[in-house]
Amino acid sequence: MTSPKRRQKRDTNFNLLLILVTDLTRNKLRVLLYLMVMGSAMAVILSTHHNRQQVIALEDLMEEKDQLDVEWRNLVLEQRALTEHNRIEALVQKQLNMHRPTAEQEVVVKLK
Amino acid sequence: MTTAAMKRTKSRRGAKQNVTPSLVHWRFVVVLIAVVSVFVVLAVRAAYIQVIEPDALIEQGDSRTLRTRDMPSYRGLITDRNGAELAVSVPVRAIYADPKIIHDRNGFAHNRRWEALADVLGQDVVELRERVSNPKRRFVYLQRQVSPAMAEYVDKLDIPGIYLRRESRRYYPTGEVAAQVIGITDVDDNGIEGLERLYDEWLTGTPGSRKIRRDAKGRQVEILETRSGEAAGNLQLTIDQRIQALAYREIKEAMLYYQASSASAIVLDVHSGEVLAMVNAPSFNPNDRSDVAPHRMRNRVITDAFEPGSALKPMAVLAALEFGDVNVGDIIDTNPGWMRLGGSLVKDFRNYGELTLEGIIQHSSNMGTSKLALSVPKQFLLDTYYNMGLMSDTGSNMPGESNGIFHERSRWSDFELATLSFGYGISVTTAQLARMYATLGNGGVKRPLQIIKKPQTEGWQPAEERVISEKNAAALLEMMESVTQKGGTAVKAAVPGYRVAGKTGTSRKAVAGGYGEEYVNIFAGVAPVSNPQLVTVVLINEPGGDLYHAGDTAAPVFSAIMGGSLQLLNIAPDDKQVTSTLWMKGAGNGS
Repeated sequence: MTSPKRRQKRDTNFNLLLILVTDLTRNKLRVLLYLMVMGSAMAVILSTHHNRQQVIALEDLMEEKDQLDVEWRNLVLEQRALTEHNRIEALVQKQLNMHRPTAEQEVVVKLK
Repeated sequence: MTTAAMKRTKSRRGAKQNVTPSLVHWRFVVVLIAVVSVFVVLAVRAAYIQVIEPDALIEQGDSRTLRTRDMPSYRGLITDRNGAELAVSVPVRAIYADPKIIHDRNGFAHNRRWEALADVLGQDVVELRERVSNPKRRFVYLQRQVSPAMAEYVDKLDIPGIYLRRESRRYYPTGEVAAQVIGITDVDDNGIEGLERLYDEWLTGTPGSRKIRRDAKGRQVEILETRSGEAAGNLQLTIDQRIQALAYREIKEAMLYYQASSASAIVLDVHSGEVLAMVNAPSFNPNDRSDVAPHRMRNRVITDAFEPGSALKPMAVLAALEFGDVNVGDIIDTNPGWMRLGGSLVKDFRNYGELTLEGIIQHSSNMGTSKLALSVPKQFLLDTYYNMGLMSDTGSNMPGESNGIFHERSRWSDFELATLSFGYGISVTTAQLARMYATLGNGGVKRPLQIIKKPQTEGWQPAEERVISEKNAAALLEMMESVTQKGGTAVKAAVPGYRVAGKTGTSRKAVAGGYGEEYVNIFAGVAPVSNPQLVTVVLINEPGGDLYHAGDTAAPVFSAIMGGSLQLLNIAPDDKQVTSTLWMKGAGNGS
């Protein structure tokens, strides 16, 4: 049998929450360190996640860049084919009825 | 433990005391050993996997997640001086087969897909299957350079053992206009002709690659290593595509109209020696190689040497002027229009009598040039020819360039020197001739020809050098202007609005044992005379029609090309003094 005094003392200690709190307040530094460890662990997870997202985004962008490059090359070809000098000249002669000015039609304006 | 032992403890502590549970020792040991050994086994296994033999598993993991992705590198662009693209590479696909896989996976079972494949490739299905019938082979090209749309179709057919490979294809948007200058590449993207070949290394990049880790969805989640490839260099030419197109059209028309076997032309910027246009006909379509033949691919402007005939006559006058015993106003007696030199006859078309230097050039008098050539020491004459670049390369570094044909000899007969003065006994390329005229136009300063604007060559470059005096160069140009004026041999070469100096050359082609019936017609000219900007040389080879005089064939072509080029480059006309006020006054008078 335990003495009443001891029992009373034990009663006060039975509150787990209280024990935890008193224990924690006694080791502030450790708690702080623990929180920091957890925090940094979370940060690592977060940054890794962000990193992956960025890498995925980078891949998408690179793919887009390649596709745009290919499209640009094809557009350049199209543009050059359509603006071929002799073609334009033939077109303006036929459709717009334009012609090269002869020497008599030329007017030279001299700026001084 | 035994009950006796328990009693013993009880008796010692009393009945009320707690009973301390005692261990059954051997059981405890067994459990302990079992548990510990489980952990030890785990630890050993973990250590074995992690430390001693990790490679196999790392390899397994890597083979599931590690990928190397190539970053495509395309051959560099070729542009003209204004940035208009002349050659562009676009990605295409190659379809290839792995016959072993086809046989292993029973690829031939999909009959309809094979028919569809043969259909889209335009090949016979039996033949196609024949090509992949040998199961020992691992790689067979089915079709190269197919368009992305077609490749996608083939990809969707999903025949086992049929794969696609990335490659690129070179397109030349200007087609045949600049085909010989730019050259072509083969199916593997190696330059095999022209500038594509000369600058093959510069235009070819090395593809970069990156090592990545991918997740289950195939996305890259980690870049482990990037190897940046060398970017392909771009090439900027001095060619002006507008002038090139114009010159090509004129040359092609001329070739057909005069039924010539070939024709070529070159346009130079006088001051920089830059080639603005270099065209040849017949040409070929570099995008469709079905009409490619060696004679179409040759860049005749630089590879083919001709005896230039009268186009070289200004040289004799120049040599005499430079030597100093003839002056600009002097008169040469060409009576009676012929003379014998060591048993050979030199004669003019008709007896021109007494001619000024200008008259000699204007009437293209053989007598006059022969007399002038013989009036200077032999070595001085040859040196003048050499200094004007007629016996050396033009400095353009183009592949296949010819230095012309000139036989160095220790003894020259008078007749040989005389023939040299009217352009026989020496063969020059069109480019060499153009360079000679550019030197005249540039006030006697000789510059190497250039066809590449960027990148600039880092190696040794022949510097510009003064080869004749500015005074004589200008005087000669004034004389040559008479050729295109009334009474000259090439009135058709005149460009309205501009003063043009030039010279025709109609020479017979040498055949075995003498000169044949075929002609070479040349017109070389400089404009505007008051401030020379452009040199154009037109060469029409073996005209087959009724017209075979350069004044009738090459001269009008020259006029068209030169006139168009001057207009395109916005060079002010120097032949008329039209100003806005004059024009307004004129309009006022007219109304």
